[in-house]
Amino acid sequence: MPHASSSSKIKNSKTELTVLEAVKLANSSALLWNLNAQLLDITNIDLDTQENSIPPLGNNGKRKHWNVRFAVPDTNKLFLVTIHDGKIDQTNDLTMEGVSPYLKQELINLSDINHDSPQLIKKAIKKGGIHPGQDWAKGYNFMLSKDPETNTPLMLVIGWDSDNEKMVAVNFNANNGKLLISK
Amino acid sequence: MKKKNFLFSIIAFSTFFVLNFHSEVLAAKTYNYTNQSVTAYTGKADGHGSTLGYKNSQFNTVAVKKNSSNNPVIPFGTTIKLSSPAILPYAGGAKTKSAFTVTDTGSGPGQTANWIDIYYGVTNTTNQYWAKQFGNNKNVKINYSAYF
Repeated sequence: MPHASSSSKIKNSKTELTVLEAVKLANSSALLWNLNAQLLDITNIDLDTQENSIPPLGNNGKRKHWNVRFAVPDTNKLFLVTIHDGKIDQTNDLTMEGVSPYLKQELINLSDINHDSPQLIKKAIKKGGIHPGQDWAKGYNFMLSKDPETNTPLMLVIGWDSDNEKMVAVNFNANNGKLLISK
Repeated sequence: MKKKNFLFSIIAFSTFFVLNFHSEVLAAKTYNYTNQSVTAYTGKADGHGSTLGYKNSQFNTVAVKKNSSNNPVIPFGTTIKLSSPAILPYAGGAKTKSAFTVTDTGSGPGQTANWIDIYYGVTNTTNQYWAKQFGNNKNVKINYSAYF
């Protein structure tokens, strides 16, 4: 058993990424697409199977699969990087004529992100009231986006209530790591 | 020598087979859905009725339909791109959007199998009004691609 456990850890460490690791991986592709590209948001994709769920998926602040979106400020240019098993698997230019521009205040400066998912999942679990999902949005899930009204980069740790009926999220300011209480 | 080569081949083949058999590598997929219904919804200020709050993202979050087994067919975190932009009227004018993120689900009674529901913000009189303005046109059908 100890062998199986350590081999599993080695395997996962190669394929699972934190939010920031996934962003940095995708960022190089985005800059090749357009030098002015900035991060719009990142969300993990829940493609994992239940057999991998002990300990719960995302319990370590890492997931294997991600969709990372970049935009060029004040234009309609949009780029999607899809990461599977810790590697860039597909990129798609989602730019479409006629779409409202992505405003600069909606986009994230990577230098503003000082707190990553492994630290914030610990804080979220310590706070309590959040449980890993069982069927859809399994385990713990993660999103990073910008609140344009407060100019705050938001990292959400997403889980479920104790009955696994309602999704819940613990919101953090990814710049200073502070817990944000919803109004 | 031949025996050694044969043994090496067997070991190499077994290693290859075992590694690949247990591989969980997934290829990115793009699914195309045609002629699907689209509606709009609003939610509580603290989202989904939870005490911790779950902030959906206005004009970005979409909910997807669950199948007959009560399981959504599109995974959490999927990016959706419409084949043509949707005009979303709201108090400030209109937003024209083509890309969304799936982070919610809904039952969508009477809607098509791969119906999507666009989040129009917290429930208040204004947002409800504009969500209805968008969602009440039941004749609107969309084509979209799902990236996951």
